[in-house]
Amino acid sequence: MPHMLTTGAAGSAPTGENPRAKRANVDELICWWSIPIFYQIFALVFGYLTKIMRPPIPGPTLAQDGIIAFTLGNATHMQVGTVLLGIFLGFASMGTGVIVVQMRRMSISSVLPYGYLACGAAAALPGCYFCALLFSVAAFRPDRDPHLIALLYDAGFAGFIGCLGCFATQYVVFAVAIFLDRNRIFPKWLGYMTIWNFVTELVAAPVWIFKRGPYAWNGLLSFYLGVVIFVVWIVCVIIYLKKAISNQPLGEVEPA
Amino acid sequence: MAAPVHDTGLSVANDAEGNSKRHLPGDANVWLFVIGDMVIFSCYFTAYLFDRGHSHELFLQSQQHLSQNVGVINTLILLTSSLFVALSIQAARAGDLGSASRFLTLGFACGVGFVLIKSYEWFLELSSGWTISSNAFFMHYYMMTSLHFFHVLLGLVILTMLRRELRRMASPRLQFLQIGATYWHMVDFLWIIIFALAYLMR
Amino acid sequence: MTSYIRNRSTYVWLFLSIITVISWRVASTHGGNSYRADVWVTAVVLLIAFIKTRLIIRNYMEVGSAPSWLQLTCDAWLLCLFGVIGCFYWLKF
Repeated sequence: MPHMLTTGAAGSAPTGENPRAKRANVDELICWWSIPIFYQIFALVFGYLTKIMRPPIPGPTLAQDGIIAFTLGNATHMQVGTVLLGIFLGFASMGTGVIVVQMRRMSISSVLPYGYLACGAAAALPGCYFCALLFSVAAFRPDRDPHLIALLYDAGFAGFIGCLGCFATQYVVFAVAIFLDRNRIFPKWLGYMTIWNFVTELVAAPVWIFKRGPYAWNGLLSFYLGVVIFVVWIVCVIIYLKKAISNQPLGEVEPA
Repeated sequence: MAAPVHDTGLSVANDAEGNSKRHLPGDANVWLFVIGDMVIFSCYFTAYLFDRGHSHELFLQSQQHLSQNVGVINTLILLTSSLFVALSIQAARAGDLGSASRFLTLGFACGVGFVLIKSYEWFLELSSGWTISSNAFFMHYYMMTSLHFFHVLLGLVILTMLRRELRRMASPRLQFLQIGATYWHMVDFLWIIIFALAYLMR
Repeated sequence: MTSYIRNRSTYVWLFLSIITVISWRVASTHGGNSYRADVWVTAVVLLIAFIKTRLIIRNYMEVGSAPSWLQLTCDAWLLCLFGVIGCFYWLKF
């Protein structure tokens, strides 16, 4: 479509639409990029730098010596990771906003998108940032009392894992919205996948009870199965979010 | 809305030449979900069997503390609830919405029965000192049955929605009813497998 | 409602209930006897579980009249799962 530079005389725009509205979806697409970028950074920070994903063997059951070694041994990586995460955390919020905008296009009450937003807001900081932050605080002064380092380590994991409730609720809200939606913003099967995500998140709940085995923090079922399903889910969400934005009629007015 | 009823109540229709057409119950999305859920549960079952292989004696000893009698009652209850749900779909297909609604209510009641009995069974086991961290067997037992229990609760919500569809709508959507029923039957056969693995097999 | 008594689903339910009870009786220990591992009991229990699951899928879930891709997928999953169960049991037994 040829780029229109007119100031909006109705006769010059082929469909009579306001040329300013035509760019609305480009804004959304720019914001959409925040999601894949954020998750790449997340994978880098948590997978490679702080080494929290692919949880340290034997998981949060390290004897105190092991905790010190893990924390101080990775000090620089952790601090770099925390800095990166601090810079890019806002992308997670923006990503949530992009999803919420599409949810508001659904034929549902605005309770659901706002609920999604609220859950995301509640979960993002403790679920993601605090963990890296606390590990970096622990690594900041190597001569700190080992008990304090262990405390910070435990507190970091507590935040990382403990927020699953908020995320689980967020997934339920998203799934319910997709199922109730008659405007077909997202495909129904994505709603079902979100339920799987929710189920595996629930199964991760007892990680504080088990120190070994498949339901422990580094367990096959609590961690690996959950991560695999999450990765598949987020990839689908990213792809179908882009499609939803592309399919959004230009100039569509959002409901009040 | 009322479709002619085949005497077995199955959804095989005949096309113009009289060849039987195959028809997908519900929709492809719910089957994706069901198959995915089956695969996820299979992971849990496999983990259980793996640990069982490592500590066969421990698992055998621990299994004794489960009540097979309560387990079989729960199995029969869920089987009955599945029957009622299946009959409900057939009634809906035949246009007999009153019976369909009543069958759903009965199925729901059976589901509630399962929930109550399972809760009571857990209460007894916990009172005897068998908690989720007692040993590997009980870890798997509580996790598998909790996951299944959650599925049952979700199923009860879905059955309620189905009943609402039957009662409030002038022409209930058969596909929606079938989707809900498919989910409930999945919950039923998952329990059958859990019953065999945790309570009966040795 | 009573017209639904003579119905295929009801017969399936009856059969499922009977084999459930059989499975339970086969596996139950008649007090006194120590709870021992038993290959035959397990084999019967698993076979009956397989039959029950397949019947529910084919009848109640109406997969019997569904497109063949669904029938194959369900059968494949069943065979894989019970195959794995059998293998793990046999190999570690």
